[in-house]
Amino acid sequence: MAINPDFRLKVRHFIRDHYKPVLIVLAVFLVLAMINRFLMGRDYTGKPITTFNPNVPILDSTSSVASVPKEVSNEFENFIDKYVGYCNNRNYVAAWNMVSEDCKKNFYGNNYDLFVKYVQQKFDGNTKRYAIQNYSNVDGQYIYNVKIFNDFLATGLTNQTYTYQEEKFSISYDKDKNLVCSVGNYMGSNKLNYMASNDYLRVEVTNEIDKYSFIMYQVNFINRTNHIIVIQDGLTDSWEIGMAIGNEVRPNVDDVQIVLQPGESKELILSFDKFYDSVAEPDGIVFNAVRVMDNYTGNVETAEAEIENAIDKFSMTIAF
Amino acid sequence: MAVKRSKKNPYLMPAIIAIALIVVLIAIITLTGKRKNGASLTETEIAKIDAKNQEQQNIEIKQDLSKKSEQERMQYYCGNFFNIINSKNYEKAYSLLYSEYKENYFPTLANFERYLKENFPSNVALSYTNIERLGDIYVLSVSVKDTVNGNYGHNFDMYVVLQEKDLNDYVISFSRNSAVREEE
Repeated sequence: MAINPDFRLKVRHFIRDHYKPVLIVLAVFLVLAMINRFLMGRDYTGKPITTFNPNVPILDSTSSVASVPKEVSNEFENFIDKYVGYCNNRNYVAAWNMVSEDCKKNFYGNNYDLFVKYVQQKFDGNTKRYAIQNYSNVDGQYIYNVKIFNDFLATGLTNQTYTYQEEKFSISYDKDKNLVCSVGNYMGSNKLNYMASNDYLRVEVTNEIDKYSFIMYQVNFINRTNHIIVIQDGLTDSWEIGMAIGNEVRPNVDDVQIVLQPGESKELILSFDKFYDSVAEPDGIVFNAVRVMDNYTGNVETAEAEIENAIDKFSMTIAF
Repeated sequence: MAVKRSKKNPYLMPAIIAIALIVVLIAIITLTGKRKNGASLTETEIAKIDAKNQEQQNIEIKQDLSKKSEQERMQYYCGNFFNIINSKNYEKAYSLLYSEYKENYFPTLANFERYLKENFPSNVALSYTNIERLGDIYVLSVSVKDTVNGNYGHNFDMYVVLQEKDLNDYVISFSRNSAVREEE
């Protein structure tokens, strides 16, 4: 079929008048088509984005370091991996050697068997998986939250409940620049030398032990009288022992009776809630309801009468 | 009086040739790989086309997954796994199981297939009650509904554990006995 000469002429004129834009449009189209084909032919290499950032601390607002430096993050991860590996393989000596001297001494009392017992309890003879998350970083200590759990992938949680154990590890360098860790939420300790005394009682605070979520004080009580001194028994209306911190007083969390017989000395640990990475520092310990008594039974029914007949009642503060 | 002849544009012909070449190139690019209708394909060619289609589909799924949150991706993987089971493609579903889980509970494909036929409804729908990440694994609490028999069917809750190796590349395990009916 012959093309209409008039139409042919119009096309020719159109091309003659507009060949430049037509050429450009076609060239652009061709380039785009080729790019599209090239990209479609490539395998997609995007990586899955997850919220798993083990070296970015959760509590960065209170941390002195925003996140674990990249130069050491792999070293820390490998260190924890090695520790868990030793525990899984029951190589307790190797795991013990990775624990800091401070943790060995003040948390385990240099008792290797206690450490083994602790690990065995955590790992209960099964191969465990673990997951780490940097929590906060305080003065050269990198605190990781470590979750230890059964190999859920291998079991699909068949006949199991979804639970895991959780504790804080503190990773740091020792004086020889070797990596060491504190486990079991133990963060560190400090020698202290605080004392308060009156005619009845002498109290000395000799040591501070920091766990991640509470602070413990080693306290010596000395009864300087021939009477019974009651410091804590839960039989008064008011709180008995507290830690002054900022504008608040945090009660002693140990539910223990502290009663000193005439002339008796006792060394005890008093614990208070305090996160290791919190900014607030304790101001002291307050013994708010100390009673000096001759007759003390510890009986709820007679407590009120006994307190009324006390020789003396006082409050004592050890300021830090 | 001299007649003024229209002067020929020297660029006209090269332009037309260039346009023609471009059109031919586009046609070649578009038609590359496509066969004319009516031509018969060998089995190898069919397999190649299938593989290519599969590959293309995989790329599109990966692109789609890359835009999803990790929670949405886990739901996709879990749903995909049970869709494969719904479609009775047991071999494919078996290949997605975590190797140690397979050793523990389904040492052979036949074990797996028998278990699914005996314990799983013929068609299931999932709803997710909880998703938690533990390092690089995810634990999903899933309600499985028997879509054919509704409330009278075999409905149960189970755990699904996933590990994402890459986009659309995962291994899976589930609480095997959750689907097993208690003896009446």
